[in-house]
Amino acid sequence: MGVSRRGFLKGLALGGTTGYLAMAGASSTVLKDVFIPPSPVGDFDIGMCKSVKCTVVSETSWFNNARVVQDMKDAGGLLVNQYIIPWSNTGVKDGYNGNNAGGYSALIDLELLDGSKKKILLDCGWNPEWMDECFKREGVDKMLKNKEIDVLVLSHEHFDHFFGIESVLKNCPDIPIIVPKGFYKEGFDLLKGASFPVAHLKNDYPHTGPIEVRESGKVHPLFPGCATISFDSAIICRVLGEQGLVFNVKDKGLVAVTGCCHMGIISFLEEIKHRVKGGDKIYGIQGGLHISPFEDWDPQYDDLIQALPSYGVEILACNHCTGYLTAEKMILAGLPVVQGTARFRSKKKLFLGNGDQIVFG
Amino acid sequence: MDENKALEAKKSIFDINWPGFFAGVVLGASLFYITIKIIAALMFSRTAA
Amino acid sequence: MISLKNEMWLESRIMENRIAQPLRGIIGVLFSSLIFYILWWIFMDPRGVLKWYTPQYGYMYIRWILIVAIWQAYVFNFWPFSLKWRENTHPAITGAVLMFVNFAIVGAVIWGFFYNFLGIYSIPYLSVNKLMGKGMTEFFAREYSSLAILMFAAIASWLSPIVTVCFANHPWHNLKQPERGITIFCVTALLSILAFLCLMHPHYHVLFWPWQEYAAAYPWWDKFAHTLSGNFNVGWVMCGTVSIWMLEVTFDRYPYILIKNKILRGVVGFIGVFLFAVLLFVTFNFVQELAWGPAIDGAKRILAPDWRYQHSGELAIMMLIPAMILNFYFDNGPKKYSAPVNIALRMLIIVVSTMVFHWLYYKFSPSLLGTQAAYSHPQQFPMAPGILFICVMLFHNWFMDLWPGKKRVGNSDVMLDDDGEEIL
Repeated sequence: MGVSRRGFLKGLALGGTTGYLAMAGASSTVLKDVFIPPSPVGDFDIGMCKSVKCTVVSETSWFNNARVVQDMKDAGGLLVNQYIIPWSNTGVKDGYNGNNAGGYSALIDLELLDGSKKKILLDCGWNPEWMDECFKREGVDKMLKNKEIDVLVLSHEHFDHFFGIESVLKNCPDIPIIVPKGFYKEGFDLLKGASFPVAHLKNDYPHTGPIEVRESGKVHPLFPGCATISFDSAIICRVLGEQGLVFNVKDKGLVAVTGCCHMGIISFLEEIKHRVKGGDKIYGIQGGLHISPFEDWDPQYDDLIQALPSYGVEILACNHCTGYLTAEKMILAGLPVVQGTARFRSKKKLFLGNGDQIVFG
Repeated sequence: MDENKALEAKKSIFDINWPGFFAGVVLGASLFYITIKIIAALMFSRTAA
Repeated sequence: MISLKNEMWLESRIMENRIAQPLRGIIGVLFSSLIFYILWWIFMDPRGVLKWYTPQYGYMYIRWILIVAIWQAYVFNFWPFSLKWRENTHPAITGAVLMFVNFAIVGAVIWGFFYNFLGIYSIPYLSVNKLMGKGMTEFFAREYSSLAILMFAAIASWLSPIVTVCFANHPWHNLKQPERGITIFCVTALLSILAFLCLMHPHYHVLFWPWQEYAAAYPWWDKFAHTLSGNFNVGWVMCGTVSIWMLEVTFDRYPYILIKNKILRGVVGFIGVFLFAVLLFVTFNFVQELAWGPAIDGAKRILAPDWRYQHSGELAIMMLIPAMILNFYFDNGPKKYSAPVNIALRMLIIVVSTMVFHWLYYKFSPSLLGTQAAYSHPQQFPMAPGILFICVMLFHNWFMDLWPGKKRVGNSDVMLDDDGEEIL
């Protein structure tokens, strides 16, 4: 190879490496905005409703934290399929008749602008005996029998939000059900009447109504002023996908209602902001926010508490897997956390408990 | 890591072929631009978890 | 005057391929992968035997395996094992023995020094039992203490190699072992502890409630990093580790090796390694924003600023692995051109390989390694298997001379003068 060609190649290589690294540095810093697409502003009009009332049917998913963690650990850890974990259902001192399982479920009463009403049952809990008692307490069993509840929305496939399906279907086997994308075959089989003896799980009332699977990446209308948004979150016990509800309350703003919000409440609010018209004003939040359910901590949660006030939320009706430590810190930070009454086995008044209600509108 | 070769190379470090170097800077910058275009095309997702 | 063979065993080795390329490389990668997988299954896999990947508990052992290997090979030059032992013992035996010694030291450091000494008499969050004694569940007690203990190792893994790679062991190059090893160990341990106190200790200010306002500084990076989490520092320190190792395995210590004065070379090299680390850090953050949009203050998972910083470190490791495979198993790619051209071609191969490796990892990690799916779940933590694989490659190179693919046919006769220069 001639000296000049070799020299040119050498210069080219030196310059190439320098140019590559310099462009990396420039693009990542001063030129960043040129390359990052701007975040979209929400333009999907979900309509409007007059008011939304949320009744906490049950937010006590289980009664002993340490036991549920031990069950998962004994089965092999957080990746093990929830349908094959032998959940402790006897001998748990603070359980429900010895059973550690409780469940999460909320009843949403939606009043439309024309005065008509819709009822949404969000999730169906875990322990059918516990759920039967809770449904009876709030009259949900009668509502189901009378077909007053328009739809069962399953936020995600986790055991404490879905395994109590028998309690719903025994009263209304043909209720329309909406699930997020990510439900496994076992979930659909359970709806059809399958049983999973290892997990002490069964459904003797096969579902005969329609099932809709909602994809992520878009807004899915449900009723005027009400829609769902799905997320692709991979979560423990081999579960995939979660959806949340968003309501547009006239003269107030948007309300986000969640089951567990595994995707993160900020992510949910940002998704609403980027997709839903009027999304820059979040009026209220209700449901589990999955921050410190096991009363553990991470400085990331402090980041959340510091960031949340900028969303202008006026009613923060969090509960369930939000965690009492989170609620305590949120209250100290001046966030508008709604207090509960600590009835029906909810432990503290720090947030909404079993049987408590909140109205947006 | 042969230090003698490195010192020899040093003697010629200031004999950089400048046309080659500047051509290389443009090439390198373009290659990075292509890299980020590939990454954006393959990885872009607003619903990634 | 000292002999290279006595004082820098690794640099003095003359090695030849016993098997022709690319078969040698392929067999080498398969060999390391097999050892890696056996170790992963026994110690880490959530479906395996000990299930230590939680992920921080297992990752803690892995990070300490790495720094102890660096101490064994780079800092102590395999002292107390004799030169004669290294020369005459079969690589499979030297590999097994040195690996066993490594594991024993790791166990002693974690269980002896941290859990049962420092954690009890100095900083409680270094002891699982102390945290459980305060009412914490075992799982979180282990995760919190593991993160702290591993960060000492992570910082040391970035700082320790700088002494050899940038300073050529100056000003201690003339000391014999174990004096040289002890000196370098003490200096780097001091710097690592200081760095830990400034970079990670503040994370523990906010981790506990009430905030530990008197015992630790408030995370001072909060305003510009938009997070209170120490993950901000985890990310760039990881990039620092990758930066120093790429200087060693990819850049052949260029351009710093052109500086004759070793102390000046060391100082300039240290600054250069830091700047390259920052470049990697901001570039990988930028790449994530291209893929998933900007991070959002207060968010979790894939939108969390602190996870993005951590993930920059993870992406850097995903670049180091192909860089090391190219060096250890494929003779560092094309050699027939001049140094700048060879290095530029290596970078091209490494960038492309990084993207391929990234795709392969996320596609197969849940089924092969038992991690959670997707990118941002807390139990999807590629640094754990990534660095364990790096450790296995280091064992294979440093402890086994890359047997069976390579054979050490001898050692260099080079003698070094008092300035550490080769005597010609």
